[in-house]
Amino acid sequence: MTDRLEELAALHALGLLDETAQADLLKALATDAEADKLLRDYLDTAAGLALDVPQVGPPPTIKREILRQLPARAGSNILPFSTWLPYAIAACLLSLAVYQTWRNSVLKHELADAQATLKNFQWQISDNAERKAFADLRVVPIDPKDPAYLSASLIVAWDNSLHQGVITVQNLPLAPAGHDYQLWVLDPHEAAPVNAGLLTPGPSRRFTVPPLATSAPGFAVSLEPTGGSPAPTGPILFAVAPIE
Amino acid sequence: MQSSSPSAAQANEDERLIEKVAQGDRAAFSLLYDRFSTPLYSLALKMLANEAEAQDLLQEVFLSIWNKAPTYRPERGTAFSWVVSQLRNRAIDRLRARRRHGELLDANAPELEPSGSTVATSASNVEFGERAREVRSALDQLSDEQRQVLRLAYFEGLTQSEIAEKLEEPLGTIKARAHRGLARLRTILRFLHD
Repeated sequence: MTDRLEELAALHALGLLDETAQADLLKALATDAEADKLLRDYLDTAAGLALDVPQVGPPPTIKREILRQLPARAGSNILPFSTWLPYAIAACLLSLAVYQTWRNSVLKHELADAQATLKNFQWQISDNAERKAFADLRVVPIDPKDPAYLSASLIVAWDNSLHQGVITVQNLPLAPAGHDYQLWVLDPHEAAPVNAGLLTPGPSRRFTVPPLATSAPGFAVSLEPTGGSPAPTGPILFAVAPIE
Repeated sequence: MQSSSPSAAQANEDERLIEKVAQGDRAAFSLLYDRFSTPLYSLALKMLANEAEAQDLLQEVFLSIWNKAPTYRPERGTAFSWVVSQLRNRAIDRLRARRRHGELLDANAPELEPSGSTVATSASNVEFGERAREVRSALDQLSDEQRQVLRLAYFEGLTQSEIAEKLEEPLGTIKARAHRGLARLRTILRFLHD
């Protein structure tokens, strides 16, 4: 076993190796039983570091919650799939037949009622749609975090129902060569910022992101290498926190 | 001989519990929880410095242990080492996500003292207490620089480059300290255990 391999084993046990070095190590371990044994020793030694903290037990409620959430293990004392499946299908079909009979009679009455009230509702539709559009709309200025960008103005009009927004940009200098401005949507329920795309030249740009857990997200703009990044890597130039 | 691992008898007992958990034995899982929850929760609190998040992570890890028990291979390391690595890897993922997100939100997780938690006194915690004393005693025998690098790597999940930047030292120095520190820790723990 070489010194280099021994060092790689120690660094791996501490989680300090990059992917390339890890691949080198794993390749070498396949033919070096001594190094393989050393790595196991280092992993156990590193695990011992976990005890270098004050020992505190979790609240008792945690155990109950975990036991409640345990899924059944395939092969445990649960009835086999093939045993209960035919009964489950038969029960579903019977329930469906009973439900359909009852539902048909109810629908006849509902249809008559609906036709009678349809005309009364029609006049309200356009009015309600307009109100809803305003209720879901939020206008959010994004504050400059870098003094060099104090004269720039970035404002997002955010429609939460469509999880879509329009960002309006004024006095934003051109991004330095080799860089682009990138917009991020901040949801406190998400572990990482949500990519909302690059700020392409022009006074405004529409963007759409997947549905969020929050109704009032924050926004940020960072400076990224040309073409953008999957997660922010550059300085944050503008940001506004979400409302929790 | 495992340097900082449990006694051979206890290690065998842990392996047996995981085998039973792999077969869907909930009573064995309950025993495994009683045995490992305190060191795992303590590590989660240390790394995340947030009680709610540590509790959430503990739940996540034990559910993962339940699901992954059939994949545990004793020849790859002790049961303790296996469960600790599962918690630590997930804690590091959370720390790295928090660093990125925290930078944007301009907010850091607060340092919280545990409030609703209990100091457990079961037999397994007595045993972990003895092992913890051994680990601390061994760590005391490392240089300050080695100890610092090991703790930054282990508890904060920093990369070699991040540690080098934080300590303003060359990357090669950090690698050497990490390697020699862990090697020395292994030697001392083996000595204490023997």
